[in-house]
Amino acid sequence: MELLSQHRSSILSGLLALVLACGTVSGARTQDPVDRVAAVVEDSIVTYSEILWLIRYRGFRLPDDPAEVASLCQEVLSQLINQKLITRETLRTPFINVTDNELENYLTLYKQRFPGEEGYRAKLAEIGIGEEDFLSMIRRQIIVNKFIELRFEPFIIVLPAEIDAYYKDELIPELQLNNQPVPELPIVEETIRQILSVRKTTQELERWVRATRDTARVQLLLDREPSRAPNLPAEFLEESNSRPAVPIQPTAPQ
Amino acid sequence: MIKPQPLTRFPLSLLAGLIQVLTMALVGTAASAQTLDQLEGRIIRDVRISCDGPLNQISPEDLETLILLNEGEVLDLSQAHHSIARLFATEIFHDIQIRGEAIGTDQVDVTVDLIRRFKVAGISFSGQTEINTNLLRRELAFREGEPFSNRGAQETVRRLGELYKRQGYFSSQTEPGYEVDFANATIQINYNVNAGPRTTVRELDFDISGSIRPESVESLVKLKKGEFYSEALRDQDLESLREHLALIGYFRPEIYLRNGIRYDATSNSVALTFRIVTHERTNLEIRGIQLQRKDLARLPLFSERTIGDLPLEETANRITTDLQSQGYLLADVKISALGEKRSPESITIEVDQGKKYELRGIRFEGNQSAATRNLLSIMATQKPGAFGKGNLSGETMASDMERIRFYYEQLGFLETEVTPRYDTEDGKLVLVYVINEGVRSRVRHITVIGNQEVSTETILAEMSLEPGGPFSPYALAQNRVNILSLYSNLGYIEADLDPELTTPEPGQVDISYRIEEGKRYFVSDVVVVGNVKTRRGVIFREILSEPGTPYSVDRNLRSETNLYDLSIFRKVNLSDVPDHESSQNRTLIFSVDEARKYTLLYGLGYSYNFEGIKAEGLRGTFGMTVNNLRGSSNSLAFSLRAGATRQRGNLSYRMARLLGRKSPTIFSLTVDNDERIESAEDGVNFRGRPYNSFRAIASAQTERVLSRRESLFFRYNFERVLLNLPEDLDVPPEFYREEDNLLLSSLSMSYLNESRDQPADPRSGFFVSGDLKLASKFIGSQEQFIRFFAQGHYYHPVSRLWRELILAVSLRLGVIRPYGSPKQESRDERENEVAISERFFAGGPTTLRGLPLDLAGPLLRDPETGEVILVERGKGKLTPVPLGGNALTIANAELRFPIYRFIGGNLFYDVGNVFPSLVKTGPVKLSHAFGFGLSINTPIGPARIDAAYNPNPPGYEGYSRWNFFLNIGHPF
Repeated sequence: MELLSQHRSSILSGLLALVLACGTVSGARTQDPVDRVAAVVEDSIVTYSEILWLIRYRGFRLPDDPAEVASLCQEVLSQLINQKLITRETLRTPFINVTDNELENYLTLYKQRFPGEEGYRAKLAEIGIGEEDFLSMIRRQIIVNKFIELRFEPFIIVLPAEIDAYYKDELIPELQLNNQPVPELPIVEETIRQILSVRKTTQELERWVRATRDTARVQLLLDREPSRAPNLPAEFLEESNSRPAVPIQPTAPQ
Repeated sequence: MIKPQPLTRFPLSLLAGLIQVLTMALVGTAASAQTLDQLEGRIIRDVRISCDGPLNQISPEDLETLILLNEGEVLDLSQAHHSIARLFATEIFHDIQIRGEAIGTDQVDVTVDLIRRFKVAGISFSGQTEINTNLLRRELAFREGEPFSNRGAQETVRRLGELYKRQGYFSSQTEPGYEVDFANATIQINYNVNAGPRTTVRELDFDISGSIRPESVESLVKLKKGEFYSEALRDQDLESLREHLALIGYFRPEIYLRNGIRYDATSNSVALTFRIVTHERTNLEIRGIQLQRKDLARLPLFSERTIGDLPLEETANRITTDLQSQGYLLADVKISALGEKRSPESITIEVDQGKKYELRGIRFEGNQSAATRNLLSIMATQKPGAFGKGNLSGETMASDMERIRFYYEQLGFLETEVTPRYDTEDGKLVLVYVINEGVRSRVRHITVIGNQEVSTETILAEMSLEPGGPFSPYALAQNRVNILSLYSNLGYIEADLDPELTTPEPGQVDISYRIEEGKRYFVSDVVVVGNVKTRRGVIFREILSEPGTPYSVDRNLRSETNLYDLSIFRKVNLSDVPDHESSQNRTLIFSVDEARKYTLLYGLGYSYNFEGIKAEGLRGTFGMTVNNLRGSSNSLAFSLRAGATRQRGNLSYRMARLLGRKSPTIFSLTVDNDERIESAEDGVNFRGRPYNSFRAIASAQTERVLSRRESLFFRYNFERVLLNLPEDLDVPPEFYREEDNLLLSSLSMSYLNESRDQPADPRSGFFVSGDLKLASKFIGSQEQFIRFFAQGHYYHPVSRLWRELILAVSLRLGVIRPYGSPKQESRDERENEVAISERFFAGGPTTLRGLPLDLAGPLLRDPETGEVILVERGKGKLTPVPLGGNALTIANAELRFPIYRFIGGNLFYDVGNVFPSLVKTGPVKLSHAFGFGLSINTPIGPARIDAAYNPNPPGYEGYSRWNFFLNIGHPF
């Protein structure tokens, strides 16, 4: 008792601190982002939810390291921005579109991965996406593939000298490094042609994307707090950010 | 003695602090682990919306419509995504974030953070700009009303710098300044420009490889050492050099500025070196014709400066066409090149003009199914006539044949062949088109396949083609448009239609329409943004598309038109976004940009009368309109006009709707004082109507819009009219009634059809109006009469070859019929019971130009002798006193034509007069006048000087054979 009375003030302050800590626990329930604008591409947007959908659709697991999460999100965001730019480009070419039949065929093939309709629905729930949005996502992917097929592939030419160079400079050294037998060139010629074709198509696509990004209006907002940076002169940003937010009153319930 | 504390015994306060720190660390980890996965699936307890500033451009109701997250519902990532997409589609927000705060185990509070998009309110330029503001504005990276961006602002600075360099100001500087309105999310930008001194040419020389001397080209360039530099001059000089070299046979020279433009900032000057490499020369020989240098320069061979088969062929065609238009209808041109194709040693142009013919006419042979006059009306070839010298050439003939084939196609002849032939008659050429019409195709069957939602009968009703009727590819295409339009207005905006044609027998066509209806789209919500002042209800009543109805392109367009017709918006834009559950449900977003609230009107004018009679002199006008009063789309306006002889004030209130119906209505009060007659030292000054008047008018008018061009007006007028005359105006006292002030109350109905291409200076179309007015004592009027006035104006280009020659004709008719017994016996002595202020007057620059202003029709006469009474009107001159009349007939015809640039001319004929009544013309006869005039186009309309000759004017002082008028605007 005497001991208790001697340390009463310490005990009290400790209890107070614990209470404060508990209070801090409850007060530290921060508001986490549910969704936001990640990027503005010309007149359309990419949202954070679209990034998550694509990550989940591809079966990626979010890393534990926040820095790695951010890096992954930026990479997927970049892909989505490219998709938006390509989709805008295809609006100018009416023969690059996706028919309902094509979409239906793709969906049928996709559903075959799952044990029945329930499995498919569960997958959508796991991704956190509605079917309409899922179909939109698939449609965009198909359009990108068609764009690549029509815009770049017909103009890709693989020369015999290039096949020869790949065979000698890349394939043979790699096979020898792995102690694998080296096949004759005619046997692998077609495969090498396809590899080089894909490589060249990718290079052309990247070139096109770079050139388009240079001229397109793209604003990246994912890596910053909601602010007005691009939309106000720099000398007014501080004043703008210091202004209090205005709550919008809802209408009276009917 | 102090006992040492064991090391393991920490002070409790320190322990408490440690607990706190550890708890915070645990909390931080817990917070980072509280990811979206844990928020999804929770029930939304509360939805809060916050914005970075006042949100004036969208109502809370519309905001909530766009946000799909609702209390009591599950937090769904899809709904969050679509909420953001819908909010962004309004173009009000720059950034949007949705955050969630977990509450308990299964609830979440949602906050929507909105960051407004700041827009450009206005852009101005100041400082030493030196360049016209319109040119500066073309370099803007964004316009008023568009979102602001730093990138755009800097891009504008860069573009302005480039513009100034092109104009010769290499040292210009531009600095943007901003005024930010946080309340309204707008930014005013001012570009302060310092153009600096103009850049001069420090050095100018030529570096020539080839056999031309510098002296031969120096005189061709306009840039000179020591003078100002500009890019326009540089480009002009390069072009001049190229043209000159082409004309002397160097078709492939290289001409450029060696090392570009070498600018020196210290001296603000540039050094230029024209590098010219001539390459091979081609000898040019022209036989059979003399061509001027300017004619050569127009030929493709020289204007395009390339050699090849195509330019040679085009050059031959051009020379042939030019010769044919001069009458050498059988001209033949051959061009040959010797040597390498792209760099020949010589080019020879051989021209055989042939005989010069005049085209006598155009005839057709074999046209059994098409009338000759119909075919003639579509010909591009025209024979020489009073208004043109004809235009026969190979090009016009090719166009004629194409037009004939197309004409026959519409009649169902799909394989018509047309062959031209020349005949000669009396030394003149007759162009004959021999037509082989071929078999006429008719529609045998029409079938419709694939339509499930729309009946076949409904679809067939949209078609102009029908079984048994002629087949026409144009009608087929038009029918497709009609059917797709039908589907799009029923919500099937992706419908497609493929007509298939089969010909079971020659001359018969079966049409099968294969329809893919596609999905049906619906309107799920309608939202309005951008209305800061305008009430939401005012906008929504103009929108025809409603939630739950099929998506209709037509209704959407008409809604946009209705909003524009309110005249309170500068811009109306419609976009739509899909719902999150189904892309077939669309939310319509009407985005409006409100016009300025106040409109000011002001002006100054001056009029002078060369005869010394008092004119209005200096006059001023001022007015102001308050638009969109209290957001209601109504407007209030007042205007004042003041001059020496006339003053007028008006206050009016305009409503877009009356009793909920779309009937523009105006209530107005007007005060008008007209004192054109006044006493002067040398008599009375006046011309025209013999009275001064003061009117106070209250009126109400409503409009019933029948179509885009036609309207009906219904009006009620209540006015008090005070007439007066100076006492020294020598007219008999019984000229005026004892009651020289009137109360008039009238109802009137007017019809208006405005179909002119441009009202101020029309070149085609017509204008028709009619007005019927009833004044009755039952509605408080002292006078009772029925007044009818109608006018029609018609305008048409006279010749297809000279479309600027305009024939304008006009007819005006008016009649007034008084009824009911007069109040005063003294009125029986007068000829006309209608008050003089209500009668018709005519004469002057806008009615009958053979008569002076208002002096047409009955004149004041001595009741005993019947002689016309002449009164003094100042400066010793006499004039009759016009009485006006109850009947009016005026007809005008004018031929208007351009003379040179903004100067035009006209020839006219006027006939008509004012009569005492419709049946009693009395001594009044039709007045005729012929005349001519000049007009000068001004920003406010054509200014005209007309001279009219009246062969038989009334034989009284005040009239003359020749009358001259100066006026702004055409008479009709």
